[in-house]
Amino acid sequence: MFLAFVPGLMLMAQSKSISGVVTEAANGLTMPGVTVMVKGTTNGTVTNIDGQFSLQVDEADETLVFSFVGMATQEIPMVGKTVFNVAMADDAVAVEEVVVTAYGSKGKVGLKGAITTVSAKELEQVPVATFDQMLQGKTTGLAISSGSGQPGASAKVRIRGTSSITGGSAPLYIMDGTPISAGDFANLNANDFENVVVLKDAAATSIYGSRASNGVILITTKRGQAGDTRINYRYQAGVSVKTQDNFELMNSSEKLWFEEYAKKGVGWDLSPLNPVNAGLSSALLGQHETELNRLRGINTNWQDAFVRNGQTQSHEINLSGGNEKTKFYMAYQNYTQEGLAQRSDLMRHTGRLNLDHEVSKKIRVGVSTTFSYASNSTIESEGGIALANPFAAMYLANTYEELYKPDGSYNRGFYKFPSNDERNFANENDYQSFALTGPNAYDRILNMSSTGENTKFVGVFNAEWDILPGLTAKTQYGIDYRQGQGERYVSPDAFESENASDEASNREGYISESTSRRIETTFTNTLDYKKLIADKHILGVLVGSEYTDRYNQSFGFTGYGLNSKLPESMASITPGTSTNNFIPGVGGGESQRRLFSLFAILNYTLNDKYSFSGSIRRDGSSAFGENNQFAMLYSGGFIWDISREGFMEGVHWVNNLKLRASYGTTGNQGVGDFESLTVWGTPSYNGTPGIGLAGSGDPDIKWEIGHKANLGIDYNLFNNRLNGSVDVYNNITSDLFLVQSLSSTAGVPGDAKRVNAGEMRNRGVELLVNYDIIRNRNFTWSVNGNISYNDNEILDLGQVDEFESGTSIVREGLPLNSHYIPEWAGVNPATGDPMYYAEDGSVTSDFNKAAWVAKFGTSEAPINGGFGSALKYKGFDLSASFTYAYGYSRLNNESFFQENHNFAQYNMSRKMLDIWQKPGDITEIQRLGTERQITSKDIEDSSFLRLRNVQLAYRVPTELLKHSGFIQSIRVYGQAQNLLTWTSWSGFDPEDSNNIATYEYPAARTYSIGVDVAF
Amino acid sequence: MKRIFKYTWLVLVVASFMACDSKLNLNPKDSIIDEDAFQSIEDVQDGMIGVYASLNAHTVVAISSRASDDLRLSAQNRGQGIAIHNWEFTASVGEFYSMWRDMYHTIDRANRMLEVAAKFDVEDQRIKQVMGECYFIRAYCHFELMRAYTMNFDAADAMGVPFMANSVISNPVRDSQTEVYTNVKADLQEAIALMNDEFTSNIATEIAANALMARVALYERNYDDAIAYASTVIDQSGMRLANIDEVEKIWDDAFALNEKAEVIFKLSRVEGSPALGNIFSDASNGELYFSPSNDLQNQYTADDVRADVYFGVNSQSNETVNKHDGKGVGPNIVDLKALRLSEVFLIRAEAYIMKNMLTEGAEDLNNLRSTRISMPTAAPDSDQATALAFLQEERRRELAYEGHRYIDLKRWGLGIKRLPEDTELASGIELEAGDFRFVFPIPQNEMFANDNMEQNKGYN
Repeated sequence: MFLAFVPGLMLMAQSKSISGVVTEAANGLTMPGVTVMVKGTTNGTVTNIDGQFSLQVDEADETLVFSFVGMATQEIPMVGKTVFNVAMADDAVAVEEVVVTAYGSKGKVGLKGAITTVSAKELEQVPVATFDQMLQGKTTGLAISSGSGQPGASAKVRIRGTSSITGGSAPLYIMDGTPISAGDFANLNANDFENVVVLKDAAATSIYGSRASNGVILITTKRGQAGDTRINYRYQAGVSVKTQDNFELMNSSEKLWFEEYAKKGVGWDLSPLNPVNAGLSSALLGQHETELNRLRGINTNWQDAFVRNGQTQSHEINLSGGNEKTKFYMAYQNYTQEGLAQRSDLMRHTGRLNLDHEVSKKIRVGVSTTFSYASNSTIESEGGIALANPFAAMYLANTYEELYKPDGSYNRGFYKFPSNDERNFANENDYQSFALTGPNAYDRILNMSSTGENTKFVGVFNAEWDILPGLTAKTQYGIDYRQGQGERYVSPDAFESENASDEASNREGYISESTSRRIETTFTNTLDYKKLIADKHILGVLVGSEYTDRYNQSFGFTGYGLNSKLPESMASITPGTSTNNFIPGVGGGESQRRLFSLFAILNYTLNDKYSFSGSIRRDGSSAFGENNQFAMLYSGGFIWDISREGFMEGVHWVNNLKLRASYGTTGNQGVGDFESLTVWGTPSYNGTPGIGLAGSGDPDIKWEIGHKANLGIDYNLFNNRLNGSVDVYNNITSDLFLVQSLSSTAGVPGDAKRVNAGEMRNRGVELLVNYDIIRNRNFTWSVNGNISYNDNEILDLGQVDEFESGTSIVREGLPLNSHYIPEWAGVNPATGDPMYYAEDGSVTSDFNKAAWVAKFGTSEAPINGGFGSALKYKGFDLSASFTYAYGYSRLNNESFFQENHNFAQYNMSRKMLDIWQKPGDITEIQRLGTERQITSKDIEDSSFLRLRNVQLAYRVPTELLKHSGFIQSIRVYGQAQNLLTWTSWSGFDPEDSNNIATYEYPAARTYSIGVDVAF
Repeated sequence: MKRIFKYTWLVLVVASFMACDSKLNLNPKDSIIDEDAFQSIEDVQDGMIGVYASLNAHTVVAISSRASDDLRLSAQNRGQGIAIHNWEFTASVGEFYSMWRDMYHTIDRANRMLEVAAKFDVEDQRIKQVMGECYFIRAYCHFELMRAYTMNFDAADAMGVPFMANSVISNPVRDSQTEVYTNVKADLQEAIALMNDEFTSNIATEIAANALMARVALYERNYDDAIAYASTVIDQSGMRLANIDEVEKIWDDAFALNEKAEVIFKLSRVEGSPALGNIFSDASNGELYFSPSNDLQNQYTADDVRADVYFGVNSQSNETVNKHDGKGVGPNIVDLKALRLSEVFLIRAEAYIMKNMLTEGAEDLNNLRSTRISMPTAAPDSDQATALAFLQEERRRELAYEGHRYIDLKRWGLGIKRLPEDTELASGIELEAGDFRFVFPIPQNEMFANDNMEQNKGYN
């Protein structure tokens, strides 16, 4: 492999002819389109439809390189041979060490460390819109939890645990060398990705400096290969359905009984037991009973009303190819996905063009660009405890409410039944009325909307110049541009508009438009040098500079007084006057930050056995205080390739065994852009703007520092059948951003300021295993699994040793997000009172005496992972993958409403039928008239195992396609996503991105079929 | 061609390494940086507007009204102010924190502007005016804190609150009441000396400073000063009481800002401002949190115009507090009247009565009553106890829902006994005179952040 660095030999060439056939190792079928190159030259070809190739080569040429997307590249020595029959195998069993080429795209100076790769194959055609969700369970050290089933929603991604309390814990995402924003992944097509690499330890991440504390995710997109143009067309269609739920709600007669018992709602108002009805005539009482019977007979299934089967469809075409000087990859995709809930969907167009061109032997240029447009529609109050949220309304709506009126039109407003005393149907006040939960939430689907459009462009332009043998200069300019447009519309005919109680505050509907732009540009320059000395020392040095500028701007307006004849149009806004209350609201703002960095990487390898790598980076950030504007971050790593030692020569079952050790520092710069400055705003008094204090800055605020230590082993054993890695790590974040409370007398807005104090530790073990159980010509069977254990502990909190945050506590000695809540001690059988444990361990019914304790674990799962298996038989391909999270719990805020007699106006869990009624009742449901408190009763184990994906694919035999003359391969498949979930969690979905269940949009189960055709 | 390309590149690359760190000195565009904020006297005047913008005295009105015997819980209340109404006072009840914070933050804004103003020509009349207004605001806020968080001036070992004379991040101890009173009075003297003699009711003025002096003196039991400063306002300032036909105008904010009628100092509120009337009802849907207590409504005679103006009935036939129901820029939005001439009359009357000058006291009360009641009975002047009791009733009638009642009861050493018909929904029925809850707890946040802060008696 050192030959690449020997300057080209100037020999007069003698040529010879070589040929061969390339087959796929897994099934023995011939492979068209494989690139065959003579190493170190531009001489090469591509196999034809029968997998054959022939090539004229120089006698002096030594190595042939066979490459194909998704397959392990093979280098075959040519000495003395003219026929080469090569079997290509999947990347997965590649023995190559993963070398991440941060800042050195041609791999001269690489970083080696705790790195795992997810290849294209695992991301392609997964029926979700965002790639972060696809990564779930794929590799070690990654904990990914999706917080929402809204199409296009991003997940919460943590690499080796949460490393910051207030500074943000999302990883840094780098695509083709330029940082991209975390969050608008719905605008990216993961089918364009060649691989996704997760950088975990200091040796791998430290070079990314002050943004790398939370780990780095590197995305590399596909590039063209020289040879015939390859065209792929892909189609996928699917349907999303609701997953199984784990709760039971009352039916109408149960609910009406409960209302009567709880003395609340329609069931009580019409009850003969209600003293208000005592003096009524039997005729009136009979009317009440008739009405109650009518209601008992209605059993609206509100889930059916709000949930639908969503259609998903994707068309994609990509072309790649080129010649030795110019290569291209271009792709277009149209993706549409309907959400489970009505009024929620995503549609996107994405285009990509990646181009590489050799200006001369020494100068290369390239671009990687993607442009996309995505539009989406979202539900009301997503993930909110609000009756407007359809996923709350479907639980909380009484089943005796009806979606349609008798005349077939949509119902809304109030349930009304003439009250007892007056029988005047014309007088609105003489009705007993209850707001209709289900129909009023449904009215929001009909008469309101919330939509967004995102336009995103990511472009990376680079040029490389081999100045001297071994010395390359590289310049890169990257831009991540996103423009978002949001629209909120409330029709003047919406119930919300009509029901505004105060005439003055009814603004007859409104339409809100907002625009936001985010532009991040990165200009990188590196000098990269590598030298082989005395055949055994390899020295590599890279120095570089990087300048990053991020700019955010947003503005918007809200107009009122909409004309209902011009639906959802900005033209329907009534101009505001001083009297009509329609004066539009306007607003906007902008912010900016910059980062300027200088960095260097040093690599030294001795005898191919011992490698040392070191990096140092100096980051200056505009966001930090003038007293602490620059950070120096460094790392050192050591790799010992044991399998190359002499004493391993006889050990044939070991193909590769490497020991890795690293230590270093990284930073987290998650503070506000101008948090270090004292700034003044323009508050108004009596309508006149003045100047008033807006922020009291701290010039000392600086980086959080992550100290990361890692020890790992990479192994390939038994003829590469068993491979994987083991890592242990100990990461300590120091100078944690913590919020220090201040005396109000200091006048600091918020009575708090962020300081650098405290420490938190994440330590853990990661295990990755792939095993090929059967590997022969026609049949392969492999299994894979990974498990990551992360132990988080807060070591020091500076000013305090704990602070509460809602039902969680941040306390020294505990993991982050530990639940903190009084412990439930059941219901007193004698009195029906709720009981709690007090400080001294005794049982009390007085909630004020209950002890708040942190003994119910944390909402951050310490154990995460996935496993799967793949079977291949001839053209058939069957795979299944599971993901799991274990050892965590969440607070079910939904049961606080569903199992609470004080909310009896809404539908209840059937558990409430067990309410304590008389002394001696043994139940978990406290009596009427007691206050329902949130206690440990509401904390539920959220551990789950999920059959994430099952896929069956069939590749049409190449022989059959030969006759078509132009179709090279056809693959058809069917798959199911989120097929099964095993959990004790009650509710729709145990998986969530936070500690509290608040009627989140659940993940859907998706069935899809697709076809991939290559031309 | 390629050579040009290479050299251009080389220059670019070298330049990128040299790029200087000064590019990192970015300034926000949405807010004004410290150095740019105050460059002219006009900027300083704008800074004064910022001080008024920060002044929010709603919470004291809310607490004093809800904790007193002037309100009755409504069935539509979903928790708004119920803990206060039932005297379930703990250091973590939010209202105690908001009031504390709002006052100290405004004090800090005034202190910052005093520092800024001192850098300009302190002989310039505009700078003098700003400084005078800052001293007034600083005194006003400190005194509001004293009224809420401390025992009566004459109570044994009564602690004051920290007096903040500078903008500084520190953990101050509680100053003695004497120190705070001394500093507040000094600030007001300073304000009177610095301010011009123009009058605008929504900014601090010399008249307002004198009126506040009278109020401070009354709390200090310094009745001579109370009479002196009240007399300055009543007899020399040109202020007049609203007459009987104008009482409604006070609460609709219908007097012009420069009209010396009734309102001495108020905080202007416009569309979008905090709504004072939200103490009693929800501006967005009209839901009622509190109705006026029967006890209070019983205090008015049928010919008392105040009852018509202060109370009402809504569309659902519930009794409502109409005193702060809005000035026409949105429901419940109304100027907060901080100092009124009628209070100054009541201060002087009380001071006279305390000095046993019952005739003078009755005269002040009669003057006030004649502008409120069409056929007023004469105020009693036979004995001090009767006169004082009558004054206390009149003060309750006149100043209801203006942040006085609960604090007056503390000052007078009286308790609360709510009527049965006012407590159907409330658990707080009786609060004995001298109960520790007449003094509010120092908020939890302050106790937590400031190790030198001492909690009030009865709270832990």
